[in-house]
Amino acid sequence: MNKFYARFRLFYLNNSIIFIFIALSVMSGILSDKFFSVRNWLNILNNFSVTGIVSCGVALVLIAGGIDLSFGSILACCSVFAAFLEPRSLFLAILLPVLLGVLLGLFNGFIVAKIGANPLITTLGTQWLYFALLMIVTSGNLVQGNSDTPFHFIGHGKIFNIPFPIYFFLGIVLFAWFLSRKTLYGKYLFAHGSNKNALFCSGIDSSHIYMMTFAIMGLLVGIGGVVLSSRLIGVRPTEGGRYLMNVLTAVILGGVSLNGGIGSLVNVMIAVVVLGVIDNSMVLLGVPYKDQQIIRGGIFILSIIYNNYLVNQSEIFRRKSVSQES
Amino acid sequence: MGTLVEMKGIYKLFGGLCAINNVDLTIGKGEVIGLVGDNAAGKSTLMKVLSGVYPPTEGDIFVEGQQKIFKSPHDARNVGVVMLFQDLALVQDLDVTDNIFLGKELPKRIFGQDMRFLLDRRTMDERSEKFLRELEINVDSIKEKVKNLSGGQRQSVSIARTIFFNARLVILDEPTSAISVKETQKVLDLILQLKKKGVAVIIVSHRMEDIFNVADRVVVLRRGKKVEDIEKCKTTPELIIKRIIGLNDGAGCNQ
Repeated sequence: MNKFYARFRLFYLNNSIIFIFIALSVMSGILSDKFFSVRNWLNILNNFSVTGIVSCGVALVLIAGGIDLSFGSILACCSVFAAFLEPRSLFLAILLPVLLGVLLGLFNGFIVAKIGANPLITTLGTQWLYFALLMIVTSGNLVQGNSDTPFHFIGHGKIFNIPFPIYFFLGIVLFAWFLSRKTLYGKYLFAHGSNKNALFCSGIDSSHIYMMTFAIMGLLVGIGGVVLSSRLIGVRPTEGGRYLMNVLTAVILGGVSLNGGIGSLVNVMIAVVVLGVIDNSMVLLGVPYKDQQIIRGGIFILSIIYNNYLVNQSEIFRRKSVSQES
Repeated sequence: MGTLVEMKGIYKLFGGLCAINNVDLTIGKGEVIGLVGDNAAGKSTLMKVLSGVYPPTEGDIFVEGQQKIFKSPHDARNVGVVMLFQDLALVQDLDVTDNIFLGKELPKRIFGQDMRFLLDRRTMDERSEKFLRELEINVDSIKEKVKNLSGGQRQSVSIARTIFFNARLVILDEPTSAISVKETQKVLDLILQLKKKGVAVIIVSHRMEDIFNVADRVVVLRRGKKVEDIEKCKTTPELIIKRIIGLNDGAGCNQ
C-alpha cells in the first residue's frame, strides 16, 4: 500500500469531521451570502457554547468506556441553582452550582466505577432522580434571576467584541484537550476505555480514574449550567432536556468511540461547530421549527451510523496494513 | 543456577472444583520452563496464582527464600514476577511508548520539581526508542498505536515491557499462538535474550516445537496435578505429549 495514501486514509478516518465541516461551510456559504460574515460565526459559536462545554465532559466519559445520560438533568440542576443563588451572591452563584455538578457526577461515578453498575442504566436512573428532585424543589416553576447584575455578563458580556461564552467554550476545550493528551490522568483515561485489564495487570487501580472522569464531567456540566443560567436569566427545570440530543450528536459525530478508548476533544469541538452551522443554515434558509426537529433527529441517527462506519473502516484498514507489513 | 521462585503445596479451589491440586514448582534464576498440558489442565490458573491474579487456597510462594503473599498483580510485579496475558498486556489504543511505560511513567520536571500529573513524553520516547533498538525490535515508529502493529511486534513489545520493568520472572501465556512463523522466531529469540539477561521465563504453550526450542525444563500438568517435571534433554516432544494425554509411556514421572 502506498505510504502516502495510507497516511491520508488514516488521517481521513480519524479526522473526517474536518472534511464534513469544510464541505458544509462551503455549501452554506453558497446558499446564504450572510453565512461567512464574522457576526454569523460569532453567533454560531455563542449559541453552541453551552453544548460545546457539556460535550467535552460527556466525551471524556465516553473515552473512558462509560456513558452518562444524566448530564441534561445535572445541567438543569446547576443552572436552576445558579439562578436561585444569583440575586444573593455572585460568588456563590458561580461556585456552588459547579460544586453541585461535581457532586452529582461523583455520585454517578461512585455507583458505576466503585460498585460496578452498568453506566447506561445507572445514569438513566440518576437522570430521572435528579430531574424529579429538581421538579420537587422548584415545583416545576421557572426560577428567575436578575438581568442587570455582573452575573449577567457571563452569558451576555463581550471582550474584544467577542461574546464571553465563546471564551468559556474555547477555554474548556483547551482544558479538556490538555487533560486528555498531556497528563497521566489522560493516558489512563484512554487506557481504561481501551483495555482496563491491561491497567489492572500493570498494577493500576483505574476505578479512581473512571470515577474521577464522571466528576470532571459534572464539573464541566456545572460550568455549562452557570453559563446557561446567566444567558437565560430565568431557568426552567426542563431546560437540560434540550441539550441531550445536541450533545450526544456532537460527541458521536466527533468520532468518540461508543466502545471507549478513542476520541479527540478537538474533533468534538469541530462537531459542535458543524451542528451550529447546520442549525444556523436552517434558520437562514427559513426551515420551519418542526422540520428542524426532524432534521436534528435524522442527523443524530446518521451520526451513529457514521460513527459505526468509521470504526469498521478503521478496523478494515488496520488489518490490511498489518497483514501487508507482516 | 540458584532458586528464584518456589511454589510449595499449591491448591486452588473454585467452589467445589479443584483447579490446582498440591503442585510444587521451582524456578531457577535465568531458567526457561515450558509449562504444558491439555485444556483445563490448570496451567493458566497456576500462573495466575504465581502472578497475583488469584490467591492460592492453600500453599506458599517463596521468592529468593522469602515467603511472599501476592494480593494483586501489583504485589507480584513489585518483586519482579510479571505475567503477560494473551492480548491483555497491552492497551491497543495507546502508542508503543505509552505501553512500555504503562504504570511507570516519567513525570515532567518543571523548575526542578517532578510534576507527577504531567508526562515527560520526550524523554519516554527517547528511552523507549533506544530500548527497542537494543533489543532489535523493529517498529515503524514508537508513536504508532499498538493495534496497528503485527501480532509478533505486539508480543515483542509486551516482552520488552517486562524487561523494562526489571522483571526477574516473566510468564508468557501462549506467546506464539497467533503470529506468523517468521515472527515466532523473533519472539523466541527475545525469550533467549531474556535468559541471557538472567531473567527466568515460564512459557505456557501448546506448541511443542517452540517449547523445545527455548526451554531448559518441561513441566506437564494434567487435571490440576503436576505429572512431569523433566529437563528438556532427557525427554522428547512425543513423550511429553503422552504425558499430557495421560498415556503410561514409562517416562520418568516425578509424581
